[in-house]
Amino acid sequence: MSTLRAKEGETDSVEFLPWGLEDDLATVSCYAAGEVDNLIHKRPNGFGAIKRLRHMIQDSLIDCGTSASGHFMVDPTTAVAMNRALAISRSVDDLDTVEKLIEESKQITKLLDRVTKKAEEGEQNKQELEKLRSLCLALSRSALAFEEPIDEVKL
Amino acid sequence: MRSSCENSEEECHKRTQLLVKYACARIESVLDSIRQLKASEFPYKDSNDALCRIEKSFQDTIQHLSATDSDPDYINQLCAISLRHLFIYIPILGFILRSTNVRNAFEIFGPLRKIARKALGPKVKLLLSSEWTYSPMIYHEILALLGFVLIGLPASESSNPLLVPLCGHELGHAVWARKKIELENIIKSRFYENVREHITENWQHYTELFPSVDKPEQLSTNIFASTTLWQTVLLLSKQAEECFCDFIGLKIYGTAFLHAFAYLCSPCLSSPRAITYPKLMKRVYYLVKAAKKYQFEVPKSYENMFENRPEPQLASMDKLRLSISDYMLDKITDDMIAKAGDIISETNIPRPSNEERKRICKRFELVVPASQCKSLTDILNSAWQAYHDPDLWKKIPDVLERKNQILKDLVLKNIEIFEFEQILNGGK
Repeated sequence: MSTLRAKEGETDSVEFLPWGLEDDLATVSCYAAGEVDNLIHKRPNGFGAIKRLRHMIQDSLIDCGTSASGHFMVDPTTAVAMNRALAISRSVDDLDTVEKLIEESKQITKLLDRVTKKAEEGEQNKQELEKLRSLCLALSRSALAFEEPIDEVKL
Repeated sequence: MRSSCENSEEECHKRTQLLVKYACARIESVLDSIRQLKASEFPYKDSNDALCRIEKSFQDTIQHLSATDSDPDYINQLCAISLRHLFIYIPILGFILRSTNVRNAFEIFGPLRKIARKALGPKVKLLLSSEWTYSPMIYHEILALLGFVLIGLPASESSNPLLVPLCGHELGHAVWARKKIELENIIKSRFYENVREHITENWQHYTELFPSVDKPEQLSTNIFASTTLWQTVLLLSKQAEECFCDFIGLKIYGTAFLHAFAYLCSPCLSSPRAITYPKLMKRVYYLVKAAKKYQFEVPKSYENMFENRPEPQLASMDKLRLSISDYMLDKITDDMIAKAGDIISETNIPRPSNEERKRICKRFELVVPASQCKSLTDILNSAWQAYHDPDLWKKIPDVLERKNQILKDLVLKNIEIFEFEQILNGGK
């Protein structure tokens, strides 16, 4: 499960816990989809999840740098989730290099920025929003790929 | 499951409404249970605080669900996520309830929480419970409970103070979570430094499994090759975390940790090994290496107490990942030993003292607890020395007959006195 993790001293801070149960990629992406959905229906009600998601993508994929041997030091869980989400939402052709994945991730953070900025200015591209909502939902579904499976409800 | 709105819009709407209704009702039931649990008597406030935190989080989830008359796909996923939260948090509610059970050795709570606070921060809260599973455990990264450490001990041993050092391993998981980014970066850089060489040496085997990767250079660029490496990094991180937690436990409790570890794990569990753990003999080898580095005495013939568990039957790809992970673990344990050592050294958790151990043992010989102890660690190391002393209470046959039980009671009493003295001294 990819999460925003507490840095030292931060667990004492209430500000670190705005999401309670929900501070993992699967849930934040899902709530971000809800905020985008609100925009589509012209009832914006805050962008906390969108901003949180942007921060998670930036931290886990974009700002990680490379190792001495040229490997991208990305967060594995987020990288796999993003790769799957992009394929599922079909917003891009199949990616074959890590560099392209990171480039696509950058585009998504720009889109997330643009969506919140345009909302403040009162103008939106509905098609773009629908595409983003699909991507957020796909990311939410892909994010738990490496989590240990939970047993089915045994009936 | 993808949602459904392949049927008419009206049907789709009805389905969505029903999903939300069920999801809200499920959470309301949990909130009812939490309200009942809050009526329990809690020996320590931390358990009640944890309940309040979980209650608040579920109330927030209900709000999210209630506020939606939105896209069916979104609602579908929101309901699925809320169901997942129930699976995660119901066992924790049970844990909180069991933390109130008198089977727990409440004497150890205060001193353990002090150690947790020294390692993790002054506001950390501790939940200690006796669990009906044989393995000591910790709940990892419970998001509603950041700042809480939840440690469970097997019910049959939860009042055995000699196993308290194993809580050090569990505390290590909380330290790991706090330092995760830094520690995983060490792992990733060491991994990538060495992985190409290792895979190149086994190139034929690798390409049999991954024929689409043409040459070793692609390991760092090709997304398919990278994905397999990422999965291996995750496996390696889990193995490294277990070693790191051993080192934290060892650094806090010294030789007592080695004794407690052997008590619970030797010679090995007879079922196949869990791949997220190192081979048992490797784990013990690393522990002994760390003990030497930290300058703790290693019990005589310690490594001979253990043997490896059988290897599990795995698919070829998983076997390859495991072999890479096992190989890489050797490359990072020195870093983990150093890191765990530094982290604990930077706290003011007292280092085990041989003089204190001997002094407390002298009191144990008289079947009385020692006063003015300096640390929980010294009491536990004395307890293990007494446990292994063949001459202890030889001249008191009535006591010798029930040596183990009397020793446990004596140690618990000593911990209680230690805690009481600490309170009288203003927690110093």
